[in-house]
Amino acid sequence: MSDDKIIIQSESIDEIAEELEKVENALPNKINADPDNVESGLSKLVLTLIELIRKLMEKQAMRRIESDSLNEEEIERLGETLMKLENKMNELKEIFGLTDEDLNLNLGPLGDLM
Amino acid sequence: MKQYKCIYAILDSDVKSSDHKPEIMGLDSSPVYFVGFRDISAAVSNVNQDKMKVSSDIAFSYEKIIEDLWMKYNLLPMRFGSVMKNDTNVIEIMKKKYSDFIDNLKIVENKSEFGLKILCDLNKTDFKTENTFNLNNYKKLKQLDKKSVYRNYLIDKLEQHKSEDSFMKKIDDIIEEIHSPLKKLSYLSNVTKMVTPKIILNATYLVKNEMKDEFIQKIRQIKREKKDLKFLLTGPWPPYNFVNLSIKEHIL
Repeated sequence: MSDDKIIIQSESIDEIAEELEKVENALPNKINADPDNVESGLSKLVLTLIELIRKLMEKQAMRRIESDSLNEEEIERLGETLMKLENKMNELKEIFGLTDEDLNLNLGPLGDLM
Repeated sequence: MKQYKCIYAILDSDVKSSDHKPEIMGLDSSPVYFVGFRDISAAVSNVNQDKMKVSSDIAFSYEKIIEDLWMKYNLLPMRFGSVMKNDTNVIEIMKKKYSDFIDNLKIVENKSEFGLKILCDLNKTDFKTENTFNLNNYKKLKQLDKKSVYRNYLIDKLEQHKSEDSFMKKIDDIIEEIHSPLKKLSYLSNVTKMVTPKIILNATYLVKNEMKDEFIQKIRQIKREKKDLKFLLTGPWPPYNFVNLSIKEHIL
């Protein structure tokens, strides 16, 4: 972008460029099909989607607790399920050498996944 | 070598290539010329490939071509990489989409686009202390055995959930305070919030040309009031984000 198009700028434009790069890098455009890395690219994509679903389940569960629509037994079972799911995700992340940042996904108006 | 037609923009006048001096140079060093249909024209040039390479240099050149045309004509910028086989295809698309082109050209006439990005250093964790979590509000959860790991896990999760809610509420309030007066000064707007954890607002505004100064002044005023936020306002741009039609199915 040429400088004459910048009308107001509080901070170095580099900071904004860095932030926008994060959006581009949030998900690989293509799965890395290099034989040495294909597993890593694919596992990142799959785990990101699983994490998205897990987070949505968690949000829904919190809403149900807040709306008081569950009995004590159901709440306890829900806690067990969510905790086991999170632990399993942590195991999988460790196996594939991925961090929370790697699985971060921008959900537009819903904000970031993490 | 086979040649294709890159279409840059649809113009709201029947421009004759011979009338347009000095000529604008298009991509692949071919001059831009105009293909007319009724009272509209397409600005096109010959290109060597049907799939255009993407690089920042090419994107800048593409933008510059549209910008040069926009200085003279009311236009609808076409998406980067809109390539067709020949001029006949270009005319066909103008025939098929004529009324859409006309409707869109009316919308963007005498207007400019501005882009606004707002950065904020607020963090979700900053909201831990001011969240409204109170275990007494969740009687059934509170009544579970205090030793239950699942009970404690859910309490942590609920607390986190409430923190995130209050964080998002704060962001929504900031966005509303900024966007609301700008919306009133603009003709149309597109807003995306939380593009990244830092870019809380990414908006484009279509502003009537006679309102441009007032619009910019308003943002200067908001910036003075919101010292903890960082602003990037760019423009005026051709109406890239306010063309509400697609010719995707017709391009190569």
